[in-house]
Amino acid sequence: MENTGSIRKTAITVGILALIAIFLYTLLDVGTTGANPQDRISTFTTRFLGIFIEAAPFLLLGSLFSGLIEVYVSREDLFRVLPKNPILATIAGAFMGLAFPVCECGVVPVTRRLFTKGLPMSVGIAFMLAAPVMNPIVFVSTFIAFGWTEIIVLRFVVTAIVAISIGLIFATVARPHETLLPISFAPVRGGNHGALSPKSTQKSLFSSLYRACRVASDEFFEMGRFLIIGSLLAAWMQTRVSQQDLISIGSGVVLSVLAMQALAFVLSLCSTVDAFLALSFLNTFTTGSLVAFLTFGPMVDIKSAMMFAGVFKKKIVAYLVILPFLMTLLVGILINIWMMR
Amino acid sequence: MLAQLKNIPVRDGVKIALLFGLSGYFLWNILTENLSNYINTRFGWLSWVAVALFFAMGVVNLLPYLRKKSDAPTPFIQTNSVMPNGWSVMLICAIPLALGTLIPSKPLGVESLTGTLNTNVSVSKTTVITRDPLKRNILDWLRAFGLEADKTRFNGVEAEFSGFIYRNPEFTEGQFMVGRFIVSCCTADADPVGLPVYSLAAEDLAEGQWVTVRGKFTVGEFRDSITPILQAEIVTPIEQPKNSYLYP
Repeated sequence: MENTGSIRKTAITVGILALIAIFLYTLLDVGTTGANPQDRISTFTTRFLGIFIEAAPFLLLGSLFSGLIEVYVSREDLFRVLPKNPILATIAGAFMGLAFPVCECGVVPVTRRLFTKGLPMSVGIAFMLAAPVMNPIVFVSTFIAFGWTEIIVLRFVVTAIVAISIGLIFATVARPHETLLPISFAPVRGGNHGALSPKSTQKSLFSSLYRACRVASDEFFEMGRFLIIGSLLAAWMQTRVSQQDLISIGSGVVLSVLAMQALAFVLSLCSTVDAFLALSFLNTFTTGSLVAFLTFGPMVDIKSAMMFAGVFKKKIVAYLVILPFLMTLLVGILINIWMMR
Repeated sequence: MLAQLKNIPVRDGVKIALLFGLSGYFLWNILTENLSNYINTRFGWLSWVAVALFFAMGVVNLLPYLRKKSDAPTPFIQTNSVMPNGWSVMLICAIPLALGTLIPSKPLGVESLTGTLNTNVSVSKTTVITRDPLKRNILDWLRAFGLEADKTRFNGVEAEFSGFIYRNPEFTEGQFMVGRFIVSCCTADADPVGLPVYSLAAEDLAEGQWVTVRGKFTVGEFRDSITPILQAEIVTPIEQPKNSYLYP
């Protein structure tokens, strides 16, 4: 038994080392004439740090929210606020971003914290997928970029429909222990009952904030590793594949949507500012593809998909990537067909 | 106090050092203006948030070890660590700090291109270019071209703009492009754009060299389309500006 475990551990280590070797080999373009490894490293680092520096403050704010929820929100509070009907609760989940205005980096730690408080699976999924769009900051940035046009309406409507639909799918088939990693639905490790009824343990504002900050720092490290791995992958993709290559794949009803979904996934932009980039594609891309970019990207991109892995089991992470991809693809195509009529 | 710091377990010490290190790294980027190498400066205030939060987290993690023995961390504090961050987590979270300090900070340039420079940018019906022609940058000109169906209206218009030199084997003698990166959010979305320029005076200048070009547009064929090409009368090599990106 011990031997099997040791072999497994060695295999994982060898696998990780092999992946790192492939990563470095392709990044540095070893063996390609004319490639300058120094420039490639510099470009890769600039792109990686660009994503990290932009995303880290949002993850910190999300972690802080998570800490404050841990300290100030009890299971009873949560169930008092949420509708009893599971369908209504899932719909409410999709709009919870109005109360917790977080982007796709911040929403994952907040969702995980809410799961530890007993938030139903469907509500948490709908919240996690919708909140990066369904919040006042994103509404303002999308409005500044596009004005009062069909794009802004479709962005919010499509996000709500997709998030609620996926939430309801999980409501019918998923149970927390089959879906979440143990750490995401267990109360605070160490048998601290304060996690369930934190109010009883509170002494002062200072000690509450102190504890929130401690939890936030743990949360930052736990989620930050996934953000960093996702950012490394996104930067690697951007160093290898140009935006123009991705865009050149797509014209037409279907391919334009696929191209913009691929772009959203690879770029891993913050949902609070992605509307400004989408604006630059306004005249060159179909409306359906822009809507897919503005809805799929905030739900799933390389870094958020990595962060899902810190909350959900692997199979569920795959569903959480594939379902929004297929649904926003379908919606994008339908919008394109409708606009062509 | 030093004696108390010696009691910090190594892993907690590394965690605290990383939090203060990241706070310092963000602050250093702000103070040295290196931030503009990575993100749209419009979002610079977010880095101040990061400085404050990383610092605050560092302090709350350090505080229990600075208290007197009688005030040592209570079991409540010791067990409230929801996720005992392991060495692998620390190692991964140290990557940004390591890359940020070991690799010299540098904006994207001609060596970062994975394709060519775009000559098309999107313009909405409401886009208005009000800037004086001699003060327009590359993005302003590309927008102006996008708004005007009849490109011959740019014939003879005087312009001056700056950027890096980009060359391509397909270009004819004397032909090159002057380019910049457009950054909406951060370097993840950096889009290289450029304007075609003709000048034999720039033949000796290396690709990537920053220049200011001044001349008049004449409409001609460039990369299979009819577009204004700057006939540069003056090509002046310049230092790369501290803030080298353009923001839409």
